Amino acid sequence: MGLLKLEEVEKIYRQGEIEVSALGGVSLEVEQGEFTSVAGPSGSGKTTLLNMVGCLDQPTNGEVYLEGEGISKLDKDQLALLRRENLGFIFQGYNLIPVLTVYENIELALKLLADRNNKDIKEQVMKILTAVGLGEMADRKPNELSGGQKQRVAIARALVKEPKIVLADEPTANLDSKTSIDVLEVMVEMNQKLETTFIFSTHDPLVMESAKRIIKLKDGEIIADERS
Amino acid sequence: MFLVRLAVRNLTRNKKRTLIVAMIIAFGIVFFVMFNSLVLGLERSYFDNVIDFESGHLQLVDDDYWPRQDELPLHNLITLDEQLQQNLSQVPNLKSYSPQIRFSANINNGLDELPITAVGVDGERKKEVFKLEEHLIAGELFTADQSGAVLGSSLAELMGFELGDYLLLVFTTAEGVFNTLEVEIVGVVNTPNPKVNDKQVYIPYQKASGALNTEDKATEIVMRLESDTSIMEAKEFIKNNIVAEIDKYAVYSWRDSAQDVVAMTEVQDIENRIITSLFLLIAAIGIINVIILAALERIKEIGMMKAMGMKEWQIIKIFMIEGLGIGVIGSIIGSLMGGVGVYWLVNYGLDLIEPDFGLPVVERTYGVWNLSAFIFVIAFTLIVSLVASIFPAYWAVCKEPVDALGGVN
Repeated sequence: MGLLKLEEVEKIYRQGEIEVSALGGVSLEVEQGEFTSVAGPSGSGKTTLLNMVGCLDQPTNGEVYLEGEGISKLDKDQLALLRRENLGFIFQGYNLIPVLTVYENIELALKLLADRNNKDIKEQVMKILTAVGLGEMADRKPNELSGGQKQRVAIARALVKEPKIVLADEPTANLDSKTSIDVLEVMVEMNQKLETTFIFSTHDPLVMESAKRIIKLKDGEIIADERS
Repeated sequence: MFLVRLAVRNLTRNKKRTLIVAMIIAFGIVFFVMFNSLVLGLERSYFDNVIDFESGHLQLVDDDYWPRQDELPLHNLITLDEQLQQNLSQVPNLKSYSPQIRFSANINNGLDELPITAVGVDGERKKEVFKLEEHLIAGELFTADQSGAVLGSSLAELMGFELGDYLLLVFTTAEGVFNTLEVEIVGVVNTPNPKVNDKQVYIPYQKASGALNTEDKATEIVMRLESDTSIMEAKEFIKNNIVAEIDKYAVYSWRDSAQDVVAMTEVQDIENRIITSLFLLIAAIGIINVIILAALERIKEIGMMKAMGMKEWQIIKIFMIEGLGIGVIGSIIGSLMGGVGVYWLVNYGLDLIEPDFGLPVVERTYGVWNLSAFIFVIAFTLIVSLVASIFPAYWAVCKEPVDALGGVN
């Protein structure tokens, strides 16, 4: 079994008496080190799929396996632990904590992990900050950064704990094309250096061009799964 | 420590909001410590007045006299014989004692007549037990072999008496026979105790005893101790060594004879706590409001933190520390402001003009320092702050991470 496996995953939302199917029996496997893009129009189920993979939401039917272990039987705390140790998230709106510095925003991810001393944490944070080109901006607050810089911080925060999978929901949606290219370059570099698995939801052609695998969704179903 | 740092930083997100709630808490604390200081000061004044002008520290009475003492009966009296004097001289920490005979009488100035309480006292002993002499505004206290009367300033003014005038007391003797006594006014006192000023007339003990035909017996023997702290020890000694021998006698402390005043001060204390609780309830609502607003504003952040693997209790902890932080800020401001307020009350006091509560105080009331009030209110505030933040924090983190992130597609 690969790193990640989805088996007939269905997600149905109930809005009053109306049932809306966001995902209809999706099955797929993702291997270690893949750079995968999930593409599709709005409402196609990209974010829902990412939420399932990220253990942020539970499927109505089917099962998600991470390293062979099904997640549906896990309780809230076990899921939190699983996300903490295995998953990194990059959000469209960056979701940085405004009262913390760049350094502290990244430090937070490591502080949640046990058995890390401050010296190791500092080394790791500065290493990743240098890698994303923000080594000089460690003491700045998020409101002192540009959109691209904020997204780099978010990437650094997702990668600093060296997770098995990084999930990025429309990571370039709020960036101009030049900044988008910069950010993508950082992610590609991290994927190559650390062999971290990246899964993006996007409808940005730039992101899709960089992906080695593109999974296309429509109305909650996979209509294409292409590898380059 | 990271969570604490984050929570403390979160308090700076909306400084105005944090400060407003902290100030509400601070005002609650200021009110509590100042009111507590004043109540304790007032209480101290009440109690001093009872001890200094009414009951001394202890009273030895006949056990049958005590329940009816308000009626000022002339039966069931006590004899200060040599044996009793010898026993009293052995009471630990006893400074002085004095027999007195209290009786109801009417005072007459030739035109008007008023009901008063007359007290037959030994002038020499009296001034060692009570503080009448310190409050003489005219004349002097009579000595044992003198005749004369000392009366309160308000009564003297009301009846138009001056030093050297003669007053007429009309009363009934122990046998129920009407009698009168004409005495020269030799002193006027103006004490902090309105009871003394308004309706007490002191006359020599022997003269009173003779006129009442009570055969040198007293209604009570009042005792003053070296300090307030030795009351229980002295009371126990009297119980074991005097009352045990003469079982119709009983010993009571000033608290026993001022139960109304003690009850009133207890009611005031309850009022104080209720009012303060209301203040702190408002503060608690403020904290709940702040945490709810903070949670609503930071709902995506909460989702992000959950996505990063933060457990719910860790997020709740952040909000609780924030609530506690507001409480700490409020407590610091409140304690400093309260400290200044209490300092002012202790040194300058408040002029509570003739409080119409039947409480024996007419002078300016000063506060007292009470460290335990500060400790109590701060501890209470911090607990309220902590508890008030739990519910909104729990409400905020109960959302599924996907809902908090708004990530439903």
